[in-house]
Amino acid sequence: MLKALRDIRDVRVVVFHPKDRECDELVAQLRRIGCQVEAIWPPREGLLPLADVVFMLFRQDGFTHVLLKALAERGPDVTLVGIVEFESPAVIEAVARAGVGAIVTKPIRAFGLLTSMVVAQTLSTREKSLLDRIRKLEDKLGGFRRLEKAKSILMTRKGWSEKEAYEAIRSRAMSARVAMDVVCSTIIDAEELTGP
Amino acid sequence: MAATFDLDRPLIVGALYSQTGPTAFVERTQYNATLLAIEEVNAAGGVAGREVVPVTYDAHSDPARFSQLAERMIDEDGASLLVGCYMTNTRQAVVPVVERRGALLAYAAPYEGFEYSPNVIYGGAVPSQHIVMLARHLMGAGGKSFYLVGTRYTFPIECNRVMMTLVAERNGQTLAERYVPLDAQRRELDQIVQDIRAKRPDVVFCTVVGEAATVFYELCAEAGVAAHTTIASLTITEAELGLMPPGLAEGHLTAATYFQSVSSAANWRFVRSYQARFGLQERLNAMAETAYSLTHMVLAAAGRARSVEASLLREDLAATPFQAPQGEIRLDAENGHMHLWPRIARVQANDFRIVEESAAPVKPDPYLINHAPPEWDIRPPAPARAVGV
Repeated sequence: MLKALRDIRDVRVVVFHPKDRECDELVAQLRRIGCQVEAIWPPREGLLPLADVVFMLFRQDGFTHVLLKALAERGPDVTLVGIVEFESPAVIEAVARAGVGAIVTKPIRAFGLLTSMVVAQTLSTREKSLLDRIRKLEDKLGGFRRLEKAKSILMTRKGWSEKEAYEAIRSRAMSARVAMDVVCSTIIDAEELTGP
Repeated sequence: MAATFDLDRPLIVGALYSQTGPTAFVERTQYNATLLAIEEVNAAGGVAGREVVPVTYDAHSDPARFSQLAERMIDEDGASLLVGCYMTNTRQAVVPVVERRGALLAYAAPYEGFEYSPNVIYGGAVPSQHIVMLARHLMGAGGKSFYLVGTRYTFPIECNRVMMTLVAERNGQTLAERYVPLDAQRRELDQIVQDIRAKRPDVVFCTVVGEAATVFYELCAEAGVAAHTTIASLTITEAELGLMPPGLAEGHLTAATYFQSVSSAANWRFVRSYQARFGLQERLNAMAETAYSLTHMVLAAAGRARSVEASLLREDLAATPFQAPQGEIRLDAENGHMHLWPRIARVQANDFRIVEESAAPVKPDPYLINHAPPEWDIRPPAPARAVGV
């Protein structure tokens, strides 16, 4: 079963929406679904409670701005679902730029909320794992670059072949019990300090 | 608009059922039960003195026609309440109609859950109110390998999803999951029956609905499937048994919230009145009982609230339990579904003999996705009564 579906009853949801009938209806439906829900209004600066999913009304006001800033600081751990009441280009742009995983349109009705939430959760999980993978690949790529650079330094300085340079770095790493990347960095640092 | 409550005029109730089509044989019993409830209400003085007048048309088991008829009943006939629907796609066709008009639909059948409308009262069971008990019963009796057969629509597909999860959690095995159309032909069903015979599962979980269900049981009997397999169902009721030659479904199981054999004073009264009105050979079933109880509940609430407005009726019903033939039931204020009595019965001498029943009504949880493992071991507050083997 899809993880976002299986774990739906462990999800902590925070709703930022003025307290009115529609907000009550949204909170009631999230409780029927079985989530832990907290509705907060008005939002306070610098205070974002612990949440897996945030439902947030997009308006062109200070509250929206404050919330988006707090969410951006929190990073990709929070899934954002945008509640929209206007389809003006300015609102659309704000919603798209905020990186919402799904939208809910006003007037809010029960039908569709579960789907929106699960889709948004699935998207943000996928985004998180992609970001992790990119970070790991970037690390790896940096390591390759440093190895190439360190080898070429040794080849120039000592007149070694590429294979000899590689072997030298490898055996140094072995005897010092460090990663080859550490040896490469040392060689590059030393070259920058003493080189021409 | 639907919300006016004029004491000088009769109260029109739209009864949304099919008199022809593959599900008409069940919907006819739902319609009769709705009619019986309305007649009982009128005999007792009506709704706050207003006479209740039913309107009905033949919906042909066709969702598009259900939606048109709902519009006609509200807009032209002046119905302020609708009772009925059997298959999920017919309810789904009616929900937008009642939502737009601020009217109320009392839905008279079990379904797969995952719905909430402020304009609907859901009268039948959701999966947490029967599948869990059925799975526990089957696996407790040694069932390990399951074969799932259903009609291709939302209810069987979702029920099978729940059943497969429960079976897998208990290290059982699902051998196959097969679907047939509502108007399935004999040949198509027979291919499945031959496959069942070859695979020899411990359990066939059958959610084939309509007239095809009878054919399926017939073919299973011909193929001698019963020798090593129990057929378990949520939808084979007394209505389907009535279409089968005696003995065909002998030994097979159904989980439902009501059987005609429930022993309670309210049920004896219900069965007696129904048979007196529609014929002594007539049999009751869970869908008819739901239609009957729901009609009574909604009309009584309208009388107390002096209104047919959905929110007021729901508020009233959440606070007022009803002595239904299945036991005392009431509406859940949060989700608009009913607290109901899960039961399992075995076909014996062409009737259902109850072999297990909940000791207390079970709260509806229409949005429950993951039925296992925690719910599995949670027993009702008092242990379920075993009333047979």
